[in-house]
Amino acid sequence: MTPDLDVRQAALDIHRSFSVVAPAGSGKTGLLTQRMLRLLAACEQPEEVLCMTFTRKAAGEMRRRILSALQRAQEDTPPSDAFARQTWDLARAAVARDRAAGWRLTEAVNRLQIHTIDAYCMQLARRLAGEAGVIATLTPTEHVVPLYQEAVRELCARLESADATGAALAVLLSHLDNHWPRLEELLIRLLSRREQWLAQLLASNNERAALESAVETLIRDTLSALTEAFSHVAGDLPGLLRYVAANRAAQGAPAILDVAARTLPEPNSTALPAWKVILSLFLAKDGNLRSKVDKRQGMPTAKDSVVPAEANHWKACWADLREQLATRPQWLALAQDTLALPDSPPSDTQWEVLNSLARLLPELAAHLELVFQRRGQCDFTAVALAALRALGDDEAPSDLALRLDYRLRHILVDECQDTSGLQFDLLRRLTAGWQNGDGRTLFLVGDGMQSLYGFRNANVGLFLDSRRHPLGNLHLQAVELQANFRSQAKLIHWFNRIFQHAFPAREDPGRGAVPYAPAIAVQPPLPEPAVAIDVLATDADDTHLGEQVAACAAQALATPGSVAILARSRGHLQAILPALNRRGLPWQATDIDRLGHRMAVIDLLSLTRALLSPTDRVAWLAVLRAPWSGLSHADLLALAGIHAGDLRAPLIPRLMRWQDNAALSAAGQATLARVAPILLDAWRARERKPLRSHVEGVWIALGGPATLLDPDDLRLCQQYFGLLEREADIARSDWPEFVRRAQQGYATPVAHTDAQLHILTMHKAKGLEFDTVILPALDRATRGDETALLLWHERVTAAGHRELLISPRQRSGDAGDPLYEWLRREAKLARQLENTRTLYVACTRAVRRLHLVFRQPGPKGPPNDSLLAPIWPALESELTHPGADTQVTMHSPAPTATAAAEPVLTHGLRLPPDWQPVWPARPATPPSPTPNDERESDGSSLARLAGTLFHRSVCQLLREGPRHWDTARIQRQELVWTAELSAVGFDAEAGRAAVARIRRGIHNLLTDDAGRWLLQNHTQAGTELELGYQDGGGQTRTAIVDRTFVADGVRWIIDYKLTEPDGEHRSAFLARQRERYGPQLANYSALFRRMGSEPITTALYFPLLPHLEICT
Amino acid sequence: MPSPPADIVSLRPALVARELILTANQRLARALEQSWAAEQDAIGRTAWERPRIYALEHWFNTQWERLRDAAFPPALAASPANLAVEQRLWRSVIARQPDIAHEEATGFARLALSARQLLERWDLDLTRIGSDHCGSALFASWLPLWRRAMAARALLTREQCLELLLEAHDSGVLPGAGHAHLIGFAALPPRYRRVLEQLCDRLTTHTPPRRNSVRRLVTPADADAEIAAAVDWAADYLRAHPDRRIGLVIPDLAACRDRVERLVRDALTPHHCLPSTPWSPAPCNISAGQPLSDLPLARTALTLLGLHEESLPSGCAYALLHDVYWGDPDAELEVRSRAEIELREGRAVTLGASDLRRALAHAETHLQTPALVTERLQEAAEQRRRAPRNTDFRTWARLFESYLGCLGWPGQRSLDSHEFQQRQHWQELLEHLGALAVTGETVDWGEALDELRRLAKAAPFQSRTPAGRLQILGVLEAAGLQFDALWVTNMTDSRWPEPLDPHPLLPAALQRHLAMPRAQPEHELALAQLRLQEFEGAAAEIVFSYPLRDGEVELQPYTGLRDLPATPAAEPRTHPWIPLARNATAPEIVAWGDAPPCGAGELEGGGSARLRDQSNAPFNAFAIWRLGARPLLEPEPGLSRADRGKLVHRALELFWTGLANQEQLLALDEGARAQTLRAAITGALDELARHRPELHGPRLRSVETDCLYRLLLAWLTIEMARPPFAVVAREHRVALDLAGLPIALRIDRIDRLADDRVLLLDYKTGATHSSSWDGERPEDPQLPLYALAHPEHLAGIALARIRIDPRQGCDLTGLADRELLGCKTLADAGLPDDWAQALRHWERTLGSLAREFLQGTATLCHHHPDSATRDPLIALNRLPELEDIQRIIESS
Ligand code: SF4
Repeated sequence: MTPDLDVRQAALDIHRSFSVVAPAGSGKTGLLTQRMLRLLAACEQPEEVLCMTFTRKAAGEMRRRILSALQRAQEDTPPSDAFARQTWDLARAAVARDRAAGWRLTEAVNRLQIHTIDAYCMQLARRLAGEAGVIATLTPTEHVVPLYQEAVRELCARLESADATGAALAVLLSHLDNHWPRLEELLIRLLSRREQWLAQLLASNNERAALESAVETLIRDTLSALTEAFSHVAGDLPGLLRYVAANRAAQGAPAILDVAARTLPEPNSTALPAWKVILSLFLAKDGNLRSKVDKRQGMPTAKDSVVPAEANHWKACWADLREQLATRPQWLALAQDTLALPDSPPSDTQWEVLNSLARLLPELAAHLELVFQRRGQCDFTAVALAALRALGDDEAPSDLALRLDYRLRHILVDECQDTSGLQFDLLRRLTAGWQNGDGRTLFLVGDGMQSLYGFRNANVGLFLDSRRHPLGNLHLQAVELQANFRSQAKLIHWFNRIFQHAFPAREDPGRGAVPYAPAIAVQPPLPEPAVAIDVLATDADDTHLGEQVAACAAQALATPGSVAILARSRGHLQAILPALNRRGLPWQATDIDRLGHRMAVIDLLSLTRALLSPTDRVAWLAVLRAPWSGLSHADLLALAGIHAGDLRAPLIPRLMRWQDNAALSAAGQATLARVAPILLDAWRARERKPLRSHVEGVWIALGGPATLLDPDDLRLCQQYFGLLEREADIARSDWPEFVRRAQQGYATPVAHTDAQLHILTMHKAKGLEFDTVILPALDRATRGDETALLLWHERVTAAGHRELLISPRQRSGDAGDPLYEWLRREAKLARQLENTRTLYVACTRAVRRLHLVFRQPGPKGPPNDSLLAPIWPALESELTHPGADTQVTMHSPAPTATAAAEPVLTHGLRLPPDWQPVWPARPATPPSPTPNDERESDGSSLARLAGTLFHRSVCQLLREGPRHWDTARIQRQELVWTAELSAVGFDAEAGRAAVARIRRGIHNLLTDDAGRWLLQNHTQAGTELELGYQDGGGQTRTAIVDRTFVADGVRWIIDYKLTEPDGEHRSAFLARQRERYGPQLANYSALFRRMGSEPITTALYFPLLPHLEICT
Repeated sequence: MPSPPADIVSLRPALVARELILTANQRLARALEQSWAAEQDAIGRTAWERPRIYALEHWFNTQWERLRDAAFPPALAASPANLAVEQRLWRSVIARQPDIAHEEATGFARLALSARQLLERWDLDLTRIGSDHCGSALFASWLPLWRRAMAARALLTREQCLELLLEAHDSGVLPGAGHAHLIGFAALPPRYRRVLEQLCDRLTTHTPPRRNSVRRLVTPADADAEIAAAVDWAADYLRAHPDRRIGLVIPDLAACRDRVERLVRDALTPHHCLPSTPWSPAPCNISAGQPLSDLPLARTALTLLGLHEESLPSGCAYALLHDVYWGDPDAELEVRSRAEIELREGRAVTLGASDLRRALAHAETHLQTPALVTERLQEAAEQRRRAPRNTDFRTWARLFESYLGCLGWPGQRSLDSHEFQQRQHWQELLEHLGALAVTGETVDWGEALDELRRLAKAAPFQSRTPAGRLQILGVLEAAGLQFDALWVTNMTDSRWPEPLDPHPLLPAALQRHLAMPRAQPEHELALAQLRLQEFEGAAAEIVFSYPLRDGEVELQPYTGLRDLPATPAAEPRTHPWIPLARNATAPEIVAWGDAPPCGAGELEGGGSARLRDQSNAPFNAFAIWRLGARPLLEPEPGLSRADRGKLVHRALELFWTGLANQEQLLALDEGARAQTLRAAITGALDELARHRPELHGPRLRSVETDCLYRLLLAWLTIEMARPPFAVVAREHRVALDLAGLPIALRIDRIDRLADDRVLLLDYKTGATHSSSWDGERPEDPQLPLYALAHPEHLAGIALARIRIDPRQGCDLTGLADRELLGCKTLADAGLPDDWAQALRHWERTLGSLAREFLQGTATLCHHHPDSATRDPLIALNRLPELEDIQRIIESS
């Protein structure tokens, strides 16, 4: 029978909540899919079921699985495989429910609530903006550092303010030796983790008490566990302690141990010194077990003792206890932890710094909010905090249902070990008020062994704790999967053997420690050895390593199946990629090589910079030296040297005068004859085109594409242009940041998408599997930051709470603070634990075969910070006595490389000076209309508006009939004009002149003879007549004729103009107007002519004069 | 013959009868008009009375104007508020609420406005909102306040104006609209429908025609590739069918419009990007505009307007200095550049108007040019100063314009047509700002500017393009249009149907119930299907596409398309001339050799750094010292390292001016020592404060004083432990001629030791310097140069490392001929063990470096690995490329 079958069936019980441990290869996505299908079959609305994943990729995968299950269920033939069959059955039920309820899930896929936690927070915050605030209308971004920096700089700018903020800043600055960049760095780091301290700071108005109590809990938790560990040893420990106490008292040592104690000391900080004395009986200073004791520990030898028999008795008792303890690694670890516990409170300077931080941080967070609003962007933390705020403190669940318009009944969480405290809070609030058996369930799936995101605030301790304590009122049933469906049996056995010892012996949510849970193989063993280990010589260099890894890859690729090289960091791949290329092995990789390292991209950076900044001489010189120009040393000197002017002045003016520069060589002149006009044209036309096109155009014109050496370079250049297109603003306003982005961007790989060889980091490999997995450079250490300015740790206590321990580094030269030292030790331990887990994840990606490559460690073993370190104790013996499924190859030192040829040190590249472009000449385009640089002569917006209102009123007048327009009516119309003017912000005062003008116009029109004639009831009259026509270019256009009619067999076409001469002679004015509007009128008359009209007269009517100007 | 842009078959009778036709948007109205025109044209009519086709919103406007013109009293009593006005009122109402953070008011105002629109368009009143939902409770509490604010200013919403239309219709002021035809509406809000039903005798809704189109599904790798594929397809299609019209539908068009436009230009008018090609309109018509604030003219104007409000990040300030849209940038080029260099030397992180003005004034004086820029800035500052504290928006619009005029915006360069249009838009923008005067608010410059920025961001700029054969549209804009072929992108099942996103200020249940936008799953599904149908009826040939992945997420097509066979997209193309250029020529390899020997003018005023650079990287020495290739300084927060180094130097100089020798130092008691030291520090700070105004701040000063004090005290402890010495010179200037290269040196300090010989000291405040002085190319020849310049009675040369980073601490290190605190002996350092010989050694090695420099030796390499890792000139020396060149040489 398949292992785990019972457990898996049980986990499909949709009336119970679970916390499931699902190690690598245990088929958790299948389990989640099945449970989700079952839930869908039983719910009112699909929105009641929420599945949260850690990555978008996982969410997409879940969605795809559900969808394909639903689609498969439309077919009537069940699959034969048992698991698939069960899924099909569950999906059939879900489909039936879907049909009954009319959801049409396979079309309305969005109704499936499968989201990353971030996306779900976004959704909550958007829908509950009333509670959450408008943060959700902002765009979350990954590029948060500039936003943090802006907030930090705003805060720092307040140094000189007289308030407490300024004082607090001064304290910090002084602590950091007035080193502003370091202060910024510290504050930025704090902002990026603000969810860990913000709530705490805002909640407690007494940081000192909060921190002290957190330290106390830490001590209690550790000592309680230690007491518990002691309880498993048989022997008269209390008696021994009394004996020791008496001896110490006799020696005059401080009375730390109670001479009359019948039990071990209390587990609290007061008793901590006593505990440390007790532990010193068994542990030496270095933390290892003592081999002997003497009177310094309060155990005099029989010789020194007054009562030798007693001494012997207790010595034997001690020896017995020691023997027992020696077999208990759990005890040993706890004892070591206890010795490291901080035993004195932070110093006053520490407090001063902490208090200053406590004062600044909320303010800093407030600045950040402002920056977010200003920039329209925010980080994901802000969204999560907003979502949390929206859910409220003790929200009644019914209320949430009301606000969201659906009832959340079931939550499934994938990769729960990687959730952060903040995300856990969200879960807690979403399930507030849930009870076991009330029809609502929580289903957590995770694996402590695969927690990799400590650096992103993941706190695996929370998942561990969910298996011990209820979440709110909800008890989760702890369930473990053990089967591994992925790897062949031999690999499983090897994992079990090696990782058993690599993982800590005791589970400790406080620091996220998980012991190893052995797996049960489902896949049968394969014939060949499962694990190959290549041990290189201790001094093997990177090239050698690369060659070896490439050799392994080549060998693995010889048989069918996928192969992956998983590196811990991208840096570790630097030597490997070239080796693969040398062997001609195609590979696919994402996010591996950096963009800004190739000269082709550096050249583009120079070109961009030069076009943006005339001051940047390095950029301009680089442009002139780059292969598209390739000026010689002497020509550069002739152009830029001191003889041509100030060494700091811009080069553009000299480039403009290059023809006068007698010092240029013939080749230089030929080059500049080609290059200078391009650069100068570009400079003169700056900002006229989008930056990317501007730069790309210059690059093409210069022949940039012809200068690329490697086919890959073109791809990099394209990517650079993509960056430039997206980040043009940054390039303009913050060049160093733009360069940083260009350098840090990853080159998108060549599309060898069918290559069987994959290269990725171990983190990215999570959730994937490959037939062969190669792990290179396991002996490489990574650097940890043990001297951070501020260390803190979010600790899950034994009771399941989260508490913050925090300590600033002492000013240089001062002695270490105990809490800081403790935090340092924890940070180091946490990193080592994470190393173990990383290696576990990497190894368990293998289906058939695992390949380890590392250098033979020195006598002291591999560096503590390497991935090899945790498995080394178990692996070392394997190297000398390989098991049947392991194959070890020890490599001898590499032969020294043959001497390289003499390097060239004076060479460069250039296009031939007479290079000419090869593209077709520009087709003659119709010149774009030359802009009319003078402002429209009908003047201000006010005048324009007056004209419009006049036109509208004339229409109205004609609608009503001129005879109805007496003075009273005109007065009434004045209200219209004022209203219209005031609607666009001209109050009565500002609009007065305009109103008067319109009034005068209307009045004249009604009284002037010509005007009255225009208004008469002519035949075929039209007002504001719209005529459609097609212009020469085939465009459809509309002409609007103010007034037209037929009188005496003549078609009149008249435009009104509410203008008058402004100090100009009347005839000149009229001439100008005719010239101006003549073409327009001619166009109108042409239109009428086409419609087959009578003879036509066009005219302009100037009601202000009043005058009818006949034009034709 | 291209197909008409819209199908008018079903409308033809209505058109002939001149009935009213209302469309969902302006674009469709225009398309119908064009189709009608084409028909007229076909039957030989060249002019006609324009048919009555209007976009619905536009038609409502014309009706409203009629009411007004008829002086209908209710329509005169109040005016419609535009959305910007309404939003300001919302903002001011919301900002006054105690429970709303000030910075959130704008965001909430935007939400409240759209909630209000929904409310009115759906004919709901407050009672329907309820207050059990926090968002709607807020909204319900704001709404009456806002209504009061509107009423107080006699303002109406556009939706309220519709009610007035009905009123006027009832009272006979507004004639009925006869038989009206609706086209292109997927859904019509209840109020619109009600109003139309009453105004018109009859309403006919037209649905787009169905037809059997040829459909394809293309699957590009990702969203970028998708757009590229669509554009490439469009270009090929247009080339193959010179008389057809096609469309691209891109749902997120606003987000990628610039890229789309660029791709189209690359494909259809590849010369567009060449520097000699002037700007021309895009060869396509894109329905999404760019925010005006993103366009260069407006961007500059907004920056200039904010110049006196808050200081700019220095990067923006440098960019503004070179901005082409103010003043006379070409004539002022050198002045502006020089000002930039001066500002950069100050290393300030932000810069204000006065900083710019000062630097420009210095530059103008230095370059002896008339103070034109300075005058402009001064005049603008004066205008800013004279502006009223608070006034109405109309006045601000006027003041802003004249302020910009002072600064010479938009610059001396003549405007091309694109810029001209931007400028026109800017004028309109100022009009909009002025129109906000309706709110009756008086605000200050900063607030008015913020509002202008908001308006500029919301004002979509569309440059005028002739109607082309390629239209690029969003989903909504495509409604009702017809093409010969159509490509629709992003058909993933996560966008079709749209995910729900109900309005947060209205109860979700209500919205679902009434099928408000994005509130009801069934409605969204139906809408998606309808749209798909529309697309299918819109062209005879249709390509659907969806990206296979979005980052690491695999995407799926919309369910309705799953049956179509999918074809992968071709590789996206580059600009078409790139392959042409690449295939034509290969670059040749040239040996640059050495630079010309130094000429007479090139030697003045150099210090030891020239030799240091020559020693480390010969080409760089040439580039830096003879070509002026010095990287620009970048800002540093707080006091810069350079400034702090200067402070240490100066404080020590002052300190040892007060004391003559170690004896005196030792004689001071702790208090006196502290006092003397503090006095020296104060002196140094006072001097620096003349150039660094930030040092006037008491806190920064006191923090820096403390830090310097700690640092120098630590150093003095070392000085006190030294064997006795007297200070004989501080900042001692000497000149040296080395093989013809003049070198000016300043010895930080010269101490006389007990044996009357001297120790030459150099203070180093930066990161660790561990130099070696032996060998042919000493890494930092400064101390040996001291020795050569001052060979008399030499006991030793030493670095006093007083490192500002306290983690590194202070010490003394150097060379001496015998035991001397902290110094190596010459012999231990691998040098001849007496001074005379050591000096001769250096004369030879440094002399040869000097000769290298003079001769122009410019080898492309780093002689010390350290200098290679932080080489700021790789763009110029092109070291990363050498390996490739080597390979090419070897292989040929
Ligand atoms: S460029 Fe890199 S460092 Fe800068 S904000 Fe973006 S992700 Fe962060």
